[in-house]
Formats: sequence, C-alpha cells, structure tokens
Amino acid sequence: MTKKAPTFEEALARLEAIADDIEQGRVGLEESITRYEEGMRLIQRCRTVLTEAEQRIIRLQSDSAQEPAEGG
Amino acid sequence: MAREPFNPDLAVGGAGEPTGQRGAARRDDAARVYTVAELTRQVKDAIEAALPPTVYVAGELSNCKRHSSGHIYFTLKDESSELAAVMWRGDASRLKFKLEDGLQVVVTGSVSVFERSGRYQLYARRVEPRGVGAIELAFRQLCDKLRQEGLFDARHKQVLPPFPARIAVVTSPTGAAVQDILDTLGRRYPCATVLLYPVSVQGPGAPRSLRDALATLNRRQAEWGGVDVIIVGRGGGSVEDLAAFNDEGVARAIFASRIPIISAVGHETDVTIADLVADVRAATPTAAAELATPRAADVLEEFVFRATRLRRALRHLLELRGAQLATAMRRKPFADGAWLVRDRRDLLERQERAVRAATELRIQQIKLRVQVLLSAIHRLHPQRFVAMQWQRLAEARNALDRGLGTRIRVAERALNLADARVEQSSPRREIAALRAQLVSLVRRIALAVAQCSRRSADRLSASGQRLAALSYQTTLRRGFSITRNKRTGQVVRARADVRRGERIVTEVADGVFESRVQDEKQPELFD
Repeated sequence: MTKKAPTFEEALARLEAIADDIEQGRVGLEESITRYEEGMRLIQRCRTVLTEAEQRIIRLQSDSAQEPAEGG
Repeated sequence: MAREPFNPDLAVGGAGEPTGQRGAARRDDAARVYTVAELTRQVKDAIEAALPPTVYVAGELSNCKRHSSGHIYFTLKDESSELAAVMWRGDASRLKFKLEDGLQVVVTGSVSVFERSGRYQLYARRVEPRGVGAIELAFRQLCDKLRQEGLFDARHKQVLPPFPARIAVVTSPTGAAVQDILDTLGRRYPCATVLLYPVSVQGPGAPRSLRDALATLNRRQAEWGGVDVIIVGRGGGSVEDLAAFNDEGVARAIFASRIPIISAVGHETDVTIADLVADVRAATPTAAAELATPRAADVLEEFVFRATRLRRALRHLLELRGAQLATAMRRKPFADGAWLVRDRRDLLERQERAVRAATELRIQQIKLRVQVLLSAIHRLHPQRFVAMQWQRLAEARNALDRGLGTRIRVAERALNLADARVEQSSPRREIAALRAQLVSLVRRIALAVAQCSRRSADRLSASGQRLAALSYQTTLRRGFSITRNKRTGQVVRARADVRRGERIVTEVADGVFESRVQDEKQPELFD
C-alpha cells in the first residue's frame, strides 16, 4: 500500500510548528537551520507524491455473487 | 290452488325463472321462510351477479389493522358509506407502501360475502394511493420514519478527510458513473488510491448488493490500509431504477458506516433517501469525485506557500542574527584590532611609569630617611662620639696604665720582698719561677691591654667605619689616616697586618700615598 509517511495532514501540522518555531526565534540559530532543512525535505517529499503520483485503481471482489448490473 | 307444502330442497336462485307462474309462485312465497344459509347464499349470488368480478373502489382508509397473520383489515369509506375490506397476506406483502388511516386510495379487488359471518367485504388485491404514486408514497413514508429516528440529522454527518489516501467507489462497473468518477479522481488527485467495489445498482438484488458492499468496506478496511471515504452512486434513471437507493436497509447501512460516505445518485434533481442519509450529497458522480478530493494543484500551492514561509522565516532570523553580530562587531575590541594592542601597550607603559614613579618615590623616601638619620647622627656629634671613644680609650689606657703600674709596683715590691726573702731563704728556682711568673703576668697584662685596646680600637674603627660613609672625611681632616695593605686592600689595623717590606697605602684627608713598612716590632707599651 502506498503509505505516505507522514500523511499530508501530519506534514502540514509539522510545517506549521517548524515555521512558528523559527519565526518566534524559539530555537537557536543552528537548530533553526536544522528544522528548516527538515521542513524543506518534508515539503519536497509531499510535492513529489503530488506531482509524480499515478492513479492506482484496485478492483475489489464483492463477497457475494451479484446479478449483472443493468443500466447505471 | 292448494298450498304446496314447504320444500326446502326446492332451490330458488340464479337469474330467476321469469314464468308467470313462478313469479306468481314467488310472490306467493313472500311469506316463504329462508334458512340463514339460503338467504346468505342469495345475497352472495346477487352481489356477485351485480358486480363485475373485479371492481375498483376509491375511498379513504380507516381502521387499518395488520394482523399477526399478515392479513390487513381495514375500512374503506367516503362521506356517506363504509365498506369493510381485507387484504390477504400474500397481496399485502406486495404493497409498496404502508396502509395508513386517512390515505386516499383506489382498491382493486372483488366483493363477496363471507357466508360464515354473513358480511360482505371487499377483498383487496391491490391498493394504490390516489393523487400520488405508490413508490412516491412509500418514499415519503420512509423519509418521515427515518427522519424521526434522526438518520438525516446534521450532527451525525461525518467530516470528509481533507487528504484521502484511499477512496472506495461503490457503483456499477459498467455504468456511466464509474468512468466519470475515475476520470475526475485521476485528473484531480491521482495520488489517492481508488478501490473499485462493483455492485448492482438496480433490480431486486441491488439493495442487498449495496448493503454488503458498505458492510464489507467497513469491516475489512484494514486489509487495504484503511479507507478514507466512500463514493456510492449511479447514473440517472427512472424512479424505479433508483429504488435501491430508497431502500431502508441501504439507508441504514449508509448511516452505520464509520467511513464517511458521499452519495451521488442520478441527476441533480434526483433526491434519494441515500442522499439524505449520506454524509455528503453530490449532485452528480463527477461532483462526488470533486467533493472527495482536493485539487492536487491546490495542495501543491499550499506546500509552495509553506516553503516560502519557511524561507522567509529563516532569512529573517539570519538577518536578525547577522545584524546583531554586525552591531557587536562594530564595538571597539572587534572593529579595531590594533587598538587592542595599543591599548595593551598603553597599559604596559602606564604601569611601567607607575612602577618607576613608585620606585623613585621609594628612593626619595629612603634618601629622606637617610637624611633624617644622618642629621640625627650628626646631632649626636660623631666627632664627639669618636672623641668620646678615644677619650674613653685613653682613660681606659690610663686606668690600665695606672692599674698596671700599681700592680707592677706592687708586683715589684712583692718581688723585692720575695727577693729579700729569697736572699734570706735560698731557692733561686723559686725566684726564677716567680720572675718568670711576673714576666708572664706582665706579658699577659700587656697582651690584655693590647687586646683591650685593640678591641676598643677595633670597635672604634668599626664605629669609625660606620661613620666613614657619613663623616670619615672630617675624621681624616682631623689628622687621622687610613692605612691599607696595598696587596690585599685590607685596612691595616694592627702591626700584625703588615710585614716588613710590604707596601701600604695611606689615605689622608686630601688623598693617598704609598709607603713601605720599615720596621716591625712587637708592640711594647713602654718603648
């Protein structure tokens, strides 16, 4: 299964936190740079997923036998 | 005519025999006594003859009662009359809607007499609502029921996940909807995996198929890594075609789903119960796909925005720190390194000067102190001091002289006495010994005197030397001189310090001169 580790929600939350930390000057300069790099790597991963993904379609078998559908 | 005896076997029925006689006979039989069954039979026949086998009756339902047997008993009425009716279980099960009091209906059935009870009834085979279709009525009834139970309540609606990773699509694999959904999903948000779950969307098996699909997806979603949202739907069709999406079981399955469900049934104007129960209703399958996902481009833009924000934040921080650093650098120690050296050098020079000044001061202090001491010493009359010492020495010598002289005289007298006694007695050895004693005594005294005077002289000389730095010049001017052994440089204090022939240097007040030792004599006081 494609596991986006982390999910976009998690990534966005993390990026929010990193940006806050750097903007508030809550962490030292070195640490800020480290977090910045982490943030950029995260963004790059997410962008890769978004831009390079190809649609995957998985056809599931229904549990019970079905009559062939008509119309739709 | 003789009255015929009553014969119950004579049937009177059917269409009647229009013989005058018969008619007359019937008229005559006005007083005929029927059995209940006979009469009931007559009524039944009459009714069945009067009415077609199938009648259509319009009226209002009332007193609807469904028996445990499954038969439904009701009354059909209008403003002036009532008609008892019954619908057998078999026919009742085919009802598309529920028989409720007050409904205006058209009943299809037949009228007959139930001989047992002697009542005539409408035996309903079909009941159709008047004014509105059966399906429509059923739909309304189900809507009301589910609405009352709260299945449509907004507070039960789940929120769709913003970034679904896996989207299940429950629809007919061959219908029009599926391709629209797949295309839209692929165009908008290809990073989501699509789980395609084929179902029947119309026909008798459709409700079951839909229910199973939803149940399975909920139950087994872990197998696929979780399902974030389900799109359930189908293309347009007639009301009958869409019937499965008005099914109660399907509605409940949608309500029970823990996975959020978007329903997309038919066209914009088709509203099914599935649409009302689902968490989100989409007007079309394409709209469903759009509701399920964000546009990848939008998400990308979000990330671009985040990157910009990060960059800006870091740049700002760097600028801030850089400015702080620049400010710090402008301060003297950093901006001008040479200043630092100069500063140190200045410090060193200052310290050096301070030390020198302090040293000078100290020297001055010492000099002052020396002066003070000098003047003190001067006050103490060094000449007088020396003179005093000489005086004392002289006096000591005189005293010594006197003493010695006395002692010698005494000794001489004693000697003379002794001599005389010796003359009288005899021993010359004793005399010699005594003489020797005397001589040694004298010598010792002389030595002691000499030592004494030497010591005094030494002391004096020492004192004199102590004062030499201060006033030995004046001493010299007084006539004293200092004699030094030329070879050794030592001051000559005693005759033993020189040998005959040695060169000596004498210092007097205004200079020095050399001389040679001429004579060395043992010091004898009375030379």
